[in-house]
Amino acid sequence: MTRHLIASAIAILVAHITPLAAQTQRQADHGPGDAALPWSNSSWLNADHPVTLASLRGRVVLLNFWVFTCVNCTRTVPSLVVFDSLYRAKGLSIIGIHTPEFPPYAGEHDKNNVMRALDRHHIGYANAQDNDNRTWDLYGIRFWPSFVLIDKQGRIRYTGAGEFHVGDPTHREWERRITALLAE
Amino acid sequence: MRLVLLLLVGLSACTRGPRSEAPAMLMTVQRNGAAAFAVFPARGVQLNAQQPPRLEIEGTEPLRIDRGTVTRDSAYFAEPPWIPRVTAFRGEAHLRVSYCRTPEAVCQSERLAIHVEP
Repeated sequence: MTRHLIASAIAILVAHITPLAAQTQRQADHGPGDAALPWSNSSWLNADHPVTLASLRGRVVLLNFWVFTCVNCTRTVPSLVVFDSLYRAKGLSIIGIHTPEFPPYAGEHDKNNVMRALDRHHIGYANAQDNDNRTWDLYGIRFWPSFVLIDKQGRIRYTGAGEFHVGDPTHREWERRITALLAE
Repeated sequence: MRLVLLLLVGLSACTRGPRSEAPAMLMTVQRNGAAAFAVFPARGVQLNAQQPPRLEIEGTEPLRIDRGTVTRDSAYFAEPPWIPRVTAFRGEAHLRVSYCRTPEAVCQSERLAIHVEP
């Protein structure tokens, strides 16, 4: 009886620990210090041609995973617009990765709808349509909005998720990170 | 042996709680004197009013469950969203929800396997 209980306890322990270990490994694969992974989205807005990671070498890159139906995302856009206006000329490229939450029936995959959202929120930086979630999955993203900050050498330096607003502590922290990387 | 039992109880407790709890559930309710589908969020969950829940029944158009009052900023439903029950369907289906857990400021979405009762 005791042996059976011990075996059960070990089985439960393994069941709990294995997914955690896998998750930790997955995050470590794409975490700060690692090389950013090249995306391959083919549909872009606010860009004449697909923007590649290689073409941004030498610039600081802020990836913003978002979707226009997520209010946490759209409330954060004003901060990104401010960053874009202040730091684009100094070497920052903000890249929106527009990743739908719902299937195509919900309208998030429609390029015209995304375009209208860019206009509505005064977004001037390039945006990729990530309709197949490929870049989302590549970076192991789980939440809208999420952020990946990449340095001039193409290394991931910071990651994060969650809404922030112009002037709040999180906005200031992202700005501090951006300016620090621009100064390197 | 007592220690092993405690360990088992403790570990099984770890599998419950907010993280494993479904963010919402579909129920048949009465609205305006007629049957309706309504989506009830779990405690601490806000349902995204910009992307209302959908009831996905195989072989039919997804049902958009979008009636009900919303918060002042139109971000979330202020009450369980609902629609008249336009189908007599019963059986296995999926409920797709976009939501935010308080106090997190992120959107998440899930497709929940559900059983639609008559």
